[in-house]
Amino acid sequence: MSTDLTVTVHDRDDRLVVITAAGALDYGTSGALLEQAATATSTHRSLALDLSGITFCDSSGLNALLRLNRHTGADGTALTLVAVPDQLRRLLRITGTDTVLTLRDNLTEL
Amino acid sequence: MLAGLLAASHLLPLELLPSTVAEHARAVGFTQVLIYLGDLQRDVLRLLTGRGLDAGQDGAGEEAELKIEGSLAGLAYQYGRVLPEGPRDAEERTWWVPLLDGTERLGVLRITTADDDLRAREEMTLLAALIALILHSKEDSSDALARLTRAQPLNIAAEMQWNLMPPRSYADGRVMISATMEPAYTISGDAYDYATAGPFVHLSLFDAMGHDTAAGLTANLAVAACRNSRRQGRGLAETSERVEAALIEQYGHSRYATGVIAELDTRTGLLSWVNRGHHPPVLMRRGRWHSHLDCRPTHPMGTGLGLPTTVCREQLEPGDRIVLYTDGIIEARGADDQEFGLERFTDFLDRQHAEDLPVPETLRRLIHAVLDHHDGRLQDDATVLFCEWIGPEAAPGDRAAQLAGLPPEEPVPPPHDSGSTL
Repeated sequence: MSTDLTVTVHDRDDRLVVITAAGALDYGTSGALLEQAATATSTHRSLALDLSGITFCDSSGLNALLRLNRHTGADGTALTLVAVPDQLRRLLRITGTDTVLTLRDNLTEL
Repeated sequence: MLAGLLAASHLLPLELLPSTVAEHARAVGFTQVLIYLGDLQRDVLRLLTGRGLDAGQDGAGEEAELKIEGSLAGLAYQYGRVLPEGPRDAEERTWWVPLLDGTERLGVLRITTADDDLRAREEMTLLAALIALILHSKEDSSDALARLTRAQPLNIAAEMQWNLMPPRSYADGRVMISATMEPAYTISGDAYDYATAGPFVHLSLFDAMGHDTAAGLTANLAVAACRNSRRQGRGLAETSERVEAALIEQYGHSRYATGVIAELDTRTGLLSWVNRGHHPPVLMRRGRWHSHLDCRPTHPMGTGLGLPTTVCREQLEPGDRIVLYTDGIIEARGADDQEFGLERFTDFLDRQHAEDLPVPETLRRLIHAVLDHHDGRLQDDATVLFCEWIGPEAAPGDRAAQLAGLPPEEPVPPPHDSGSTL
């Protein structure tokens, strides 16, 4: 299992920033995602997380998403999870957190 | 014999147990009694000599360790049977006798005697019962016992969890409960709990996020908060909310635990539970059919997401089995990167049910299958908490004895496929 996570940041316009994360979102990697996201949301009102390349997400990864959701909720930034893979979608459904997070199938919906 | 041993037990250090047992057992014609104890992972049985810091040194020529798989001692342990060894016409024979504290399988006794009558066999099981009680009474004050039954060092979380959780097996006339947890020596955030009060049986399973000592602390806090609340008579929903409040107070939303907190009314078979972001319980009926008890989950405890707490309910039939489990059971990946999977997990339980094995043995085999699937190394804790509702009568019955693997009063031969030579 890969323990690497690749995070790329793309400013789509003044309003929306897209962060693409690919690889394993777990205890070892979720901190990096949170850091990049915190920087991005300081300049943009809307954050989309493209998760289509996530191969694995554990409880620490889910915790990172929930912390990010709490953080963006507090400062009025809109957070959207885009193209959530099946394993992660299952995790969100089991934990009931799919009702708290905003999910979209693709970026064109934003 | 028993009265003398019982009287001596109050002031008996664990180290003197083997020699004191030997002395009292001679009075009833047992020329030798050896005590073998199972290790934490239930792979081997180790000889308690009473000598050395682990009370397992200097075995005077006796085998210090026996494998549970493939030995006659192991068969007695697995199937809960009293098994003789050696030819029937020998002057003396040795007998393997299961050592059970309640229904918790501690190990086996090896008893050597010339007697082969009913009285001798009754003395064997009574002696085993008393030794198990004495071992249990010394357990909390003896490091030697902990050292002897550990095949490798524990991590700190495992040290906390194994001292926190109730024994891995419990049974009375109403329920059979059994649990298993791996990696036994390096736990992180899993913990199970169960308890009875009047007609109610409480069951809970927690999986705290992370794979570090903090995950173990989170699980400990969750179990303690849950016990504290239910012992004050709070209901399931409020109890889960109190666990959440305790986690948020300590960790301020930075740590959470998923879990199921359940209660079975053994008078009626009504199961009630709260699912806090966890895998739904599995209901197995008559070993042929199972279903996942889907019910709207509430958010994990400690996340404070504010979803309403739903108390779910299911009417059980006598003989129904409820299985709670954590991620590691189904998500353990093998060398081919394939998960062990929910289907393989439930198939395994169905198959073992058909073989009518004692439940603790079924779970021991399940966890070894999960470990084998993953080449012996798990990336996440794998825990199963199992409960069969037998019926409303608390007085012990045959079914409970059979499920728990208590030795029958009449010795019976081991199964044909055992490969042993009797």
